[in-house]
Amino acid sequence: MNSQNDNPQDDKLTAGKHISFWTESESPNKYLPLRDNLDSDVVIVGGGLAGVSTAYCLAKSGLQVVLVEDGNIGSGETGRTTAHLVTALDDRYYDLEKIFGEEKTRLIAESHRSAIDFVDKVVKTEAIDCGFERVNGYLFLHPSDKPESLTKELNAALKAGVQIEEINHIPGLSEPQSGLRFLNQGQFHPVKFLDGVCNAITRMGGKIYTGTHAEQIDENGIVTADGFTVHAKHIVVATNSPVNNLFGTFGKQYAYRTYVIGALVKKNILPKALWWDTGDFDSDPQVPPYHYIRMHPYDEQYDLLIAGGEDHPTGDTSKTGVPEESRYKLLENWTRSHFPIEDIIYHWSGQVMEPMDGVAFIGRNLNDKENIYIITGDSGNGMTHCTFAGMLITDLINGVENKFEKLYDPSRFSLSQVGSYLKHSVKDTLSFLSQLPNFNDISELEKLSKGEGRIVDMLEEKFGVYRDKNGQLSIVSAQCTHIKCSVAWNADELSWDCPCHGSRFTYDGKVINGPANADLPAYVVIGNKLEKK
Amino acid sequence: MGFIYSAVAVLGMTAIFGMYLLSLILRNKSTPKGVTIIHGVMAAIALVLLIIYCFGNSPSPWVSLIVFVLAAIGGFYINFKDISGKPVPKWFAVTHGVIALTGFGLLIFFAFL
Repeated sequence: MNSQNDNPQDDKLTAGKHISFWTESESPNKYLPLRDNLDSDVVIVGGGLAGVSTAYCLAKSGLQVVLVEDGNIGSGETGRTTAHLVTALDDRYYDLEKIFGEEKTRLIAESHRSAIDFVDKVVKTEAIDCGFERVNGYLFLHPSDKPESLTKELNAALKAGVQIEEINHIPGLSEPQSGLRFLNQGQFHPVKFLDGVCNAITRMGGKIYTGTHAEQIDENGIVTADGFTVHAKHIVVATNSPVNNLFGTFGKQYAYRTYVIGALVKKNILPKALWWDTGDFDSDPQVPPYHYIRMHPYDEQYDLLIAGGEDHPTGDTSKTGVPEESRYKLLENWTRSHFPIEDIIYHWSGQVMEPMDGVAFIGRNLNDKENIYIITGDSGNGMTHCTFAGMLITDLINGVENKFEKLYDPSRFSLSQVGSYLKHSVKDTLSFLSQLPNFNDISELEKLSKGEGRIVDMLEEKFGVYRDKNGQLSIVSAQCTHIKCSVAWNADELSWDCPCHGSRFTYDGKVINGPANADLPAYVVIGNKLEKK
Repeated sequence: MGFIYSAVAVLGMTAIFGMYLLSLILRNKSTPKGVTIIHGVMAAIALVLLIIYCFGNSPSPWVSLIVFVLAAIGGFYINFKDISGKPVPKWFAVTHGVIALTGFGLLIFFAFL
């Protein structure tokens, strides 16, 4: 069974209570924190796949790079992925074609294909032992989807230049089912890949600092929480959700929680492959949550089947009423009905930033200085979006023309997505409106039982309060430090999650996911009052 | 005169919410955003009512209107400071309140005296 990160001081290891298979089987790389003022060509904020790929490409192009990460390398969402490298995208090709047209949809497919080729090349060039291999991927119909959607997807994907074919029998599934085969997909161990790439970066003279929080980010560079500066000509923010602006991209992408289990399967009874269903349209017709599965070697007797899904908007489980901690059971039931799994030995959750039109935001930050770049909106295709971003950002910084620049431009806005934008704006407003006066006293705290976390209205404010198994209270402000929406308790990862834009905080208030870049104010009880720590 | 009496009524309620918000700022407490939104929306409604009255009647409370516009600009600034996580200067919040109450006093004087 996987470990849990119950130590409040150990929050730098991973963004939540559960430890993923990737992080447990390969400890994320640690470097020394920044303890000096530096000058560099480029400073990169964020040590996940996007930041590290970008640092690698830039260093390879001859630029000086400094990378800072407030946790360890890959301790954010990269360590919580399932690491599918795909041209079979989160959004259907027939939907992308409607939004972008045929020509741009071909470019989208090409960009993901080039990302898989990039990983393949880097693994070979740098001799990285991360289990990278080319595999086939299989897409099959969810019962709630229309049968013709597979035919539509086949036709649209073929037009986009994807290597794809229709098959009558998908290998590995317990029940025979027809579907689509995507050729030449990929999979790897993401944390091992990052370790290898970081070694290559430092060999090329790049500098990497972990345990270093970029508190201030502007056109001159960064200032860390410890007061050190990195002055740079170019600044790249690769923090899953950008932490450098109050307004901007966050309104064009939506945060979702996604759940993963790792189950034992007898060695070699399932092929090495990727599988996906087309998504549950009954649950959410706009963004149907789908299941995604892959295999990974585990020991001499077993392989590990890694299955994900059961997504919901971050901080909001109201649609199905199934709380975060109960999602694994749904995922297990679904997986058992499709694959011959035995014991579940891992479970963890991650966060996906879903861009409004299905394509990531990679390039110059909107409404900002020309030398500040962002990488976000990874969608369910974070592995390819992030590695592709490394190549694109490097071209932008080096002034090299890149045909993908406009497609991924963070300033783009699609009129067809206005409805979705307005819907989310209403949701934000409702979160604000939930903050009303209260005149309860501090005795409200006594109502919390051990192991319980929830929002407590008292002393005219809203607080996020968690009482651990020993009875120890952690009290934080319930107003997100991004734009003051009300956070919600996530009993699964013991975190405070913001339903507006996906910021996340540990139970004692430390920020673990943007767009917020500051901790929640924490309080202690003094008599019948609360005082800021 | 219907518009101006409505504006006075709405502004009166706006002032009650505003004074509550000011008391929270002075006591270093975070402001509930539901109240902030209600305060802002009511102020906007009152301002619209007042503008309609001013452009349709003579004489009109132009001075009150100008004072309320100044107060509104201050309100936007306070709100921006607040949601961007920066401390709202207490003197600024008090000044915003004083300006708004001045406008309210002038309006009452115009409407009833």
